[in-house]
Amino acid sequence: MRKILLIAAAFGLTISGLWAQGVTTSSMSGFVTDKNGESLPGANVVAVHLPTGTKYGSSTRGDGNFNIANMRSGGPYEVTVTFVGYTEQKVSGIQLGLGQNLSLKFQLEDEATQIGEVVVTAAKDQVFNAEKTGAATNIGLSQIQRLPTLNRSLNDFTRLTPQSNGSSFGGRDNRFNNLTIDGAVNNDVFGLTGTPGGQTNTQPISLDAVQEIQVNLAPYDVRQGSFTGAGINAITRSGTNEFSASAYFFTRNESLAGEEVRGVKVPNSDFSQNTYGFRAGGSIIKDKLFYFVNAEREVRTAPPVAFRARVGTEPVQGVVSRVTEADINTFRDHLINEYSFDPGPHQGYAFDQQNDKVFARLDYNINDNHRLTVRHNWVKAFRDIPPSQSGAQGGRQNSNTSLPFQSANYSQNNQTNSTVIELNSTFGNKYSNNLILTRTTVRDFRDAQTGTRPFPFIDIESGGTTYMSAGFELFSPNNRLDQDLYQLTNNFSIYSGKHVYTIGTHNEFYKFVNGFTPRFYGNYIYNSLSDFINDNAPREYQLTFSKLPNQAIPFAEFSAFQLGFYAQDEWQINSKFKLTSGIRIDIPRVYKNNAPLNQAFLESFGLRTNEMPDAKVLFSPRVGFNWDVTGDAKTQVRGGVGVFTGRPPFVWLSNQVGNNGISTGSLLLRDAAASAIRFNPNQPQFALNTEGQLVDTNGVPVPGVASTANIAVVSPDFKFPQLFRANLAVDKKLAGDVVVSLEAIYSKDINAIIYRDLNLNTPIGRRDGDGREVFSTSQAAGGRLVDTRFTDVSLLDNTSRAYQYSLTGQIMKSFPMGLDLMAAYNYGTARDVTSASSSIARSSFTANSVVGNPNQFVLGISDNQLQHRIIGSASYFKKYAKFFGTSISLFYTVRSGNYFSYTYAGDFNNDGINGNDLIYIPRTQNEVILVPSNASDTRTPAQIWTELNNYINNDEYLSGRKGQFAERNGAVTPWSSRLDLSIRQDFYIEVNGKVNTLQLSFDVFNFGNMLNSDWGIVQVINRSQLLNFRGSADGTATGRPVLSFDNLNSTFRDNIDPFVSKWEAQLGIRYIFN
Amino acid sequence: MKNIFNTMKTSRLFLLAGLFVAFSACEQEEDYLTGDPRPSVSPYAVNSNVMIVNASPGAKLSAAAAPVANLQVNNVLVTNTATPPVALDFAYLSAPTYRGVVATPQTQIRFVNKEGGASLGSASFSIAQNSNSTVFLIDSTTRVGGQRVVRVTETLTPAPPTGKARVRFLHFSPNAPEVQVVNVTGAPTTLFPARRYNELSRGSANFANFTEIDAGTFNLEVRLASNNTPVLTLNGVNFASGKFYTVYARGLVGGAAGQELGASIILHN
Repeated sequence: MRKILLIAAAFGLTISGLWAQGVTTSSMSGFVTDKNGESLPGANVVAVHLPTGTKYGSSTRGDGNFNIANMRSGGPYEVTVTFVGYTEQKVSGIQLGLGQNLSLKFQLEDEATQIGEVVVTAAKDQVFNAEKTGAATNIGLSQIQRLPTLNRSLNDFTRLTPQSNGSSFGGRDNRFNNLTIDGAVNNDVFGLTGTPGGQTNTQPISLDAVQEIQVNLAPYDVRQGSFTGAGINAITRSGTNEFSASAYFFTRNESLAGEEVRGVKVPNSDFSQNTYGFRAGGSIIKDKLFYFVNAEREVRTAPPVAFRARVGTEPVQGVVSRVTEADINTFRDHLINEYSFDPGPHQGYAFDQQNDKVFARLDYNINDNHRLTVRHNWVKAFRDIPPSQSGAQGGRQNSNTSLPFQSANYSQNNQTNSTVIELNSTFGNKYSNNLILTRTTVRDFRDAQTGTRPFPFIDIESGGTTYMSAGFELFSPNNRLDQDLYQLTNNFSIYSGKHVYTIGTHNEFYKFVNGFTPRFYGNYIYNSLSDFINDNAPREYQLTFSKLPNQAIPFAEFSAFQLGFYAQDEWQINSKFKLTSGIRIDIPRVYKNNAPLNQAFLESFGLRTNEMPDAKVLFSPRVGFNWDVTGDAKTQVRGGVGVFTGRPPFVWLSNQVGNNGISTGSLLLRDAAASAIRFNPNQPQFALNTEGQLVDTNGVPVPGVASTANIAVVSPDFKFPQLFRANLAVDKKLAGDVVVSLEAIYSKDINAIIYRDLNLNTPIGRRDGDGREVFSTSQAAGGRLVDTRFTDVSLLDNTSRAYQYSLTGQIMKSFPMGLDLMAAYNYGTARDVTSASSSIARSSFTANSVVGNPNQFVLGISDNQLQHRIIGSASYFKKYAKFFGTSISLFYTVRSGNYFSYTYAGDFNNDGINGNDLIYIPRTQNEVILVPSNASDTRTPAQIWTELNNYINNDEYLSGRKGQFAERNGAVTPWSSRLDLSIRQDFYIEVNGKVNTLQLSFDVFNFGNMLNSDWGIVQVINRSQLLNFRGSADGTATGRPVLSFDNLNSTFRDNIDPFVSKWEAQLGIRYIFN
Repeated sequence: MKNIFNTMKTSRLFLLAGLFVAFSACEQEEDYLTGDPRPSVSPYAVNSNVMIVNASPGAKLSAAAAPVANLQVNNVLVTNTATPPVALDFAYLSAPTYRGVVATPQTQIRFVNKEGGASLGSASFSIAQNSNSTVFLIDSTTRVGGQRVVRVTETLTPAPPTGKARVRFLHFSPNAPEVQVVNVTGAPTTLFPARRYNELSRGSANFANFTEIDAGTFNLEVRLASNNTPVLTLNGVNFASGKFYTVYARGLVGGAAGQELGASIILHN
């Protein structure tokens, strides 16, 4: 037997990898000829996955072609071709990447000729996988095990894609990605966080359960859908015939974190985070039934809160708060004695965080033609979180000015269960089928720290700022989100001649129940403790109440589906050129929701709050090609054009169900208006009586309640996001096995998202001394609001004004001695009219910076633009001295900054929104009216102008735009760079033929900062709200603006927040059996 | 070959159909024209009148004279028009006149001690264009928490009818109790109802509003609201036709010479 390294041509064997981009499997194809090149129909081709003994068989068809589909990724595979009268040929050592279609061409020799076994030792070729059309990055097991990671998050690996920007890809919001694990949708489809459980800081799956990850930006294969950002597919590990297991422990704490930024010590607060886990995989029945299990627990503890109550007359300094122990005891005793409510401790309590994950998988080779996989992923997580600061003067947190009781905190909980059943079948040598069924349930809910008893939230103030707080956390009543997601996917492939036809369907069904009723139990704010003890009126009282019959809790419930049907043809026109064309049809629809009809809103705006847009049929045609120019897998040109349909975060649609104006009402009483309110712990606090009046439990009406509502609606014509994308790329293998790639990707939105406020009246004029349009300041009918029964009315609609493009260059080389190098540069542009990024409709609207009318749009730089990104990775692994192995990996990123807008604080154009007005950049003092910032500010207007003018002249963006309006996202923060390092030190010992490994690991993020505290620093804008709008000079809506300016010495400052500019490390120890 | 042609054609048709559908959904939206900036080229002009009154009698019950105050509007010292300009002095009981003030929302008014420049009291007012206001520095210099600045506005048009005058009364004597003003020219009638020190409104009554009275000469008595005892007698006070007046009680009960209890009259027009 001779081992041959890829000199396959001599034996009539060419190997090139093709990416057919299935979501969970790989495949092989090719043809068999005799030594004269004549096709051999009926030859047997058998591929065996050696670790599991799984056999995949096929035979060549009339033209000598064969296809083996839906194969397990990985390997090593051994492929054997036999035909009567010819010598058997065998290829060993084949590794299949996720979604790869490996092409093998066999030329059989007559029985008389003896050849040896061909052993392929080259690693699977990531680039010259000749059906690769669109940009795709594969991350395999060895990279997962060796590249630096702290959070063991998939993001630490998907960032190897040059076009990525954290979790966003190609200049698009990360909510438009589709993350699947084993084909099951695993991003947070509701859209509150990136992945399920994100609010508890848990990863959706343990990294030890992941086998391979693929990031696709432009897969023209129509089986990939539901995204307009990137499709990220991950598959999980499975058992093999050999039992193997591993137990591991990782730890991080404050002594493994840096404390210096540019020579300045910035201490981190104490914490410790430990991860424990194990995995095991093996066979229950050899070659037939396999299992894999993984369990992991991650616990993070922070030390108890630092500040404590003041005892006696000790000074208020250090950790001593101004809150006296006497007041604490008076408050607590009163709550317990009068209301039987124990608020918990006031100091010395800790915030914990924990998540548990269990993963189990069974693989069953039913017979040679059918293989079944069943797997389940379970996550349970919680995180203690301090109370919301909303409405608290001076802050409501453990500090030297306030001491909230522990009951004021809440725990965010998450439980996720995800089940996948996958059946892969082959029927003869002409047909194959892949069926995936999934069910995922996600439950997010909150617990108050002292049980479930509904109790109002009480703030006691002193001297005008919050002093003590206790009660059921403000945003937590009824705060829960239940998501049920079902998926059915079936792909049926027909192999005929040079074609592979695929027809299939992919359907997603969702059901959501969302509860969000802040202040449902009432929020009382008292000027002083004695006011509360003596049962005086509070300074402020806020309440959200149900307007539904019987005060039912207003949960937003809705159900939706997205049906998908597709057909495609992959046509290997000749040995060099492959054309893939297909069309996909998606039909999304929200088919059930419980929003009531707001009649008043219908009369005013002509829209029905209880109706969602009709089902729309969205077409996604796609064409892609791959051309092996010289036929020897050394030069490859690939590309394609197509349409991609995504899924919007469903929270954007649920905003309509929740904000319909008639399920809930809100009450805000201040000062004199609150004078009749007295503390009442009973629930509900107030309710509507049969006459529609708001009354307390004794039937006494609440005085002065205005009934206004804010509404969110979806346009009846709304369509799910859709994108046109085209790419063209060249990959070339140079001398010395250096692979160079150049790629251009262009995307144009067909359906992007836009928000409008329908209740904002038209502008009434332009502001003197500025020139932009402004709105009326009148609160009466016909003033700023179209209909004064409503406050803001947010409409979700579409626009096509957005585009992105990127240019990428990448170079890589793998050295046989164990060194892998990669470097890439990406130039990216993203433009839109709004980067609408919040889960709350109103917040997306108010976050858009404008000059004048926020209902009118200007194309500008998107929040998601990352203009320059350079990445490099180096990874080296060596075994030596019989017992040792060392792996060192480095990942280096250099990137340009984030974009921001220079705005006014305040409401410059009277549109009712603070902070969304872009500034005018003045040239002379005559152009601005400047006043002192406050009573202790002693600067004259001339002095203020000198400081402002200095800032403008020293700011790179402003100095070039004097006399003009600032642009949305016109300015950018400086470049930053970061080096991450990981070291794995292995100790091996072989016992009874099995390898036992002890592995020590050390991962450092921002290793540069460890070497030198001037490195790895991220800078942020000091204050993008540069000027304060203090009012109109003549008191009218259009008068000259009066501004104040707090001096700033520089545009940017170092970001000294934990783990941004400082290094952080993780130590680990792992035992691996086999 | 026939097959290839058909497949290519079908694929192409699919693609064109899809792209046509996709692009026909594009509307021709245009950028919003915000317009060019229109900055002002001239500085913001003086356009409101503020009457500045130093009503502070100095330290409580002290023989030392009350400090003379200078005024800062938005931290700029109010000066005369001489070259070089000299800060205007506002002494206790000096005759006030209207000054032009750059009116802005949140205009900072600060009285500073002429000797040494320390702040005596400050406040921020929203002063409307073309308006008239009267600003008082009140309180004794020894008040815990510092001295305060209060402001009342006055609308001087339309003028009162012939034979009428408009008058208001403000109580700025730091240690005098609740008082009322009684017209004792003829039979005693209450001209201004009871109010406490620095009380500018009570219930629905706004004491900054003027009361219209017949023009003429009056004998007035400032009496304790508790028992009607006169504490101050103002004889021969003349209120002319068509004029606006602010009468204010100032000084200290039992005060030293120069800071004793009394009343002053401001003529607005």
